[in-house]
Amino acid sequence: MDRFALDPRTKLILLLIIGLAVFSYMPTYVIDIYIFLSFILLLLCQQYKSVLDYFALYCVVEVLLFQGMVNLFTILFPIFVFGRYMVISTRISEFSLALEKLKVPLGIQIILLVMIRYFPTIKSEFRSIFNAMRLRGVNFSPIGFMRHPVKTVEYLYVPLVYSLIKTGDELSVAALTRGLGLYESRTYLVEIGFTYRDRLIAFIYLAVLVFGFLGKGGAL
Amino acid sequence: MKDKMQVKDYITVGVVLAIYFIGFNFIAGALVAISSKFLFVAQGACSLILAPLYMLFIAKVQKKWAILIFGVVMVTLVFIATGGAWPVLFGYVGVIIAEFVSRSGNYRSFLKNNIAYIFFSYWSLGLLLVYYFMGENVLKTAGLTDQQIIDWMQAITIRNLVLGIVIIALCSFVGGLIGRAMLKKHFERAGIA
Repeated sequence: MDRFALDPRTKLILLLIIGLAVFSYMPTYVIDIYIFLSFILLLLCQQYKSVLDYFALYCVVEVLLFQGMVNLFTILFPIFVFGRYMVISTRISEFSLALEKLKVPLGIQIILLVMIRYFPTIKSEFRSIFNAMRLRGVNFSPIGFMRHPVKTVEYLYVPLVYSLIKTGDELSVAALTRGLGLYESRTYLVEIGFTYRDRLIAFIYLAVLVFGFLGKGGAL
Repeated sequence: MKDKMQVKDYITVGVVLAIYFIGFNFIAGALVAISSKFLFVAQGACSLILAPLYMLFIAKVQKKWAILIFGVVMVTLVFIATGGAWPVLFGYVGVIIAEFVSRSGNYRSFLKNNIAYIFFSYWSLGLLLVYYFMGENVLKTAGLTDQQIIDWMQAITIRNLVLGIVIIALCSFVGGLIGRAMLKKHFERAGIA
């Protein structure tokens, strides 16, 4: 395997650590370190373009922040970047196996897997419906939104929900024919396990967290 | 056996949850980014816009525990994503009440589903309570100036919390009516509800 693969369970732990850091006393530079680490992880997955996008977005927000415009955004940004990394780097079958090993009930497993599979679908569906509606002369610019707020929302919302629910039905048919509904123990082709990479990355993340707590104790 | 949740229903829950999640983050994020004054309005706006989705979900699934599973998974995900901010867990209460109110109407009574949706929307009050209980710590991490923190803290009072409850209730109820109309106008005709 050439890509830098982490165990999905490690990723869940890292997400928890980032959340802890963001929603406790952590000073801003600790958050910046976490964003930087997430960028490195994304780079190891060859996601150069999205790293550039996020970096540009972060710079813009920082500039805006100095003017006091944006507030909640910076809290959620590290989680957002890491979530992007999780969605991109995890294969569905690996994640399924990780949940199985965590002894998550089958129903909850299905919900989580469908969710992860659906985030990119929502984006692409949204884009195509947006284009289709523009072709038909629905104005999505702020002016058009001001003139017909209800209509604009309805024209975007109804087709989106409709097509997503429809795709969900097809997905469930496809899953059932492959035997998802059988309550037997399933076998997996992929293998996951903790390696030295998991230990290394988890150690770095934890060390930053401890460092942040110590720094806070010193600062106060 | 017909009452039990099948694989198909779990997949529907997953789809609806994905849309709900993105919708909530998108709307609330956009509103709060504009101004912190919208903090209490944002949740109402979300419950107004996402109501048709919820109504479609109930009309489509109509199984025991479906609402409970939907809500519990969502609140737990939010809990993990916020790094264990415990006030979020108050959201469970609203979800449990919603499940039982809706069940008393056999998931078909429109009025009871609408009332259940009001309780369901209250899960997001947990997010407000995070600011109420541990507000200053959260805001300091955002790198705000002192004046901004004071602004935020002044916005979070008991009076405003009650106002938030009323706003969410009103928006949810109106949203439920809109959702009902939308269900009739679009989804039932298309045959997916």
